[in-house]
Amino acid sequence: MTRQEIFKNLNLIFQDVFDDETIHVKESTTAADIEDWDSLTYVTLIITIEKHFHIKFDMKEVSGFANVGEMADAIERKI
Amino acid sequence: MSFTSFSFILFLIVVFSIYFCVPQKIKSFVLLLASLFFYYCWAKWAPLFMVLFALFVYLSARLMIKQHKQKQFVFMISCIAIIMAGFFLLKYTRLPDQFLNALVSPVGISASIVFPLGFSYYMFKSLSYLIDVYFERIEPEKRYDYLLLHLCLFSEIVAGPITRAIEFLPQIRQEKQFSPDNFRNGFLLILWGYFKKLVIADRLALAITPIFTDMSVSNGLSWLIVAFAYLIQLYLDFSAYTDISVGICEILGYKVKHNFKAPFFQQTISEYWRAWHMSLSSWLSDYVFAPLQFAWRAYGIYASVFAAIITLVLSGLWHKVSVAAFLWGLFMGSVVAAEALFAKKRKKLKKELPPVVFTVLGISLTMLINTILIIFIRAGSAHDAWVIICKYVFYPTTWSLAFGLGGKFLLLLAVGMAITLFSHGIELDREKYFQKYAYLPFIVRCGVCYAAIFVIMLLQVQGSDIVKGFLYAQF
Repeated sequence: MTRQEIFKNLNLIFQDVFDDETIHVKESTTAADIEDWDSLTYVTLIITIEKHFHIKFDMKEVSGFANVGEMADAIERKI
Repeated sequence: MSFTSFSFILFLIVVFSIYFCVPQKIKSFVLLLASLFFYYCWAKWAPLFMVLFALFVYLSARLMIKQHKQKQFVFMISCIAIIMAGFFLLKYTRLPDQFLNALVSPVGISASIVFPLGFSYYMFKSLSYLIDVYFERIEPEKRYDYLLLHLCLFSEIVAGPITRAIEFLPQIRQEKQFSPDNFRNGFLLILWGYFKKLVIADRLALAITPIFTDMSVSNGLSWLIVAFAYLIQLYLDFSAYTDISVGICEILGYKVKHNFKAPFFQQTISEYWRAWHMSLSSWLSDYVFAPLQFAWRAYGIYASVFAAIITLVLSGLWHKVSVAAFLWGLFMGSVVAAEALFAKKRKKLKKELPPVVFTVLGISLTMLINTILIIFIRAGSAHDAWVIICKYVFYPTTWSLAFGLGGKFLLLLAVGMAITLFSHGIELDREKYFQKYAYLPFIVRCGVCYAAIFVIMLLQVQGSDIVKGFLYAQF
């Protein structure tokens, strides 16, 4: 899967989790850019990503993502 | 030496004077000595306890990273367990006291160990330091004196803010020079803090404390007003302490995060907890809620539900180990859990209702829940809290004049609310207020400062045992 495809999939996941079709994630997107992104929705996001890509994150990775780009890096490494 | 005492003001003047006169190399040493002296003024043995505690944390972190990767987790958990066991033994049992007396009584000495001031706060600092070292977010600190300063800084030791090592330790190494801007901002924060504490919060304390002592109010609506007044008092008292603490750090050249960001303007309890006592709530969120939520993520949304309940129950028990505090945490956690479960329905409602109506409804409901539940923290016992809750329900109001509280009480509450609103306005954009002040003519700026000092000295509450110290120092 190319990075572009990962981002295409991430976009759909973000739109579904945050129930907002206007969301378009970029490398630099952070929690501050998405209105409803808080600690409660974050875990839903992680679960959805894990299920979608058939991967597992560990706690250290999840707590260290500075932006969606770093999240995509981790996905790229695992698939 | 309380923050509100005259001796503390003298102490501050001496510390600032020496701090800005000495070379950069020994500035941190001056702060460390001042912090240990401040702790010594509370209890003679306290600096020794602090030095040994910091040594334990320092060595634990350095030894942990030398362990094999698989053993590091066990090592970290053991260190955390030792620190927490010490905390619980000191706070809730007499065992350390009995142990010390058994040691020294044969030589004819009697000794007593009380719970060390601020231990709750520097325990949090030390735990996050050890966890962050384990997760390789920071390197273990090489300088013991820097770690000791981080844990015992005099402006934070009484009641926080719970600054993280990852934010504080790098600042010790930065060049610190006297900055007129920092001094102005810090001085304004300190003045504002003293005004909120000495003039308003203490006055509210004088009016509220007797009501809880003799449980004299008979109807539910009056209790609701008293509970709301206590919430205002708690906010003004704790935000005052934080402003003084952050103001001192600002003058010293350290950037410390504030504890409040307009909590009473928040539209849900989850948002409220991100704006109230932010250094503690973000700590609990990062080191308790998130790991639990992540570990249980296979259960979907229920992971958030149970993690929220457990986190807030722990927060309640941190305030006080009692049935009332447990119930407070349980109810608060249940509300946060319910918000997580109904988040999509809320979002739908937001689209359907006019924005003003949605906002007012959200703020009102959040404040009502807070006001009802704060009784569990303030009342003397779970029984007293339950009596008040029953009055909310069964005796809502007798509609007597001023609900039996008196016009003076209501006027004081109105003043407290006005100051709270203004304080929230400042918290939303502190920099704007600092800039506005900076652009005032010199004579006006002097006038504002002198007037503030005059008002504080003239109107401060004095000579009452009720208003000793800050509320959050007891936790």
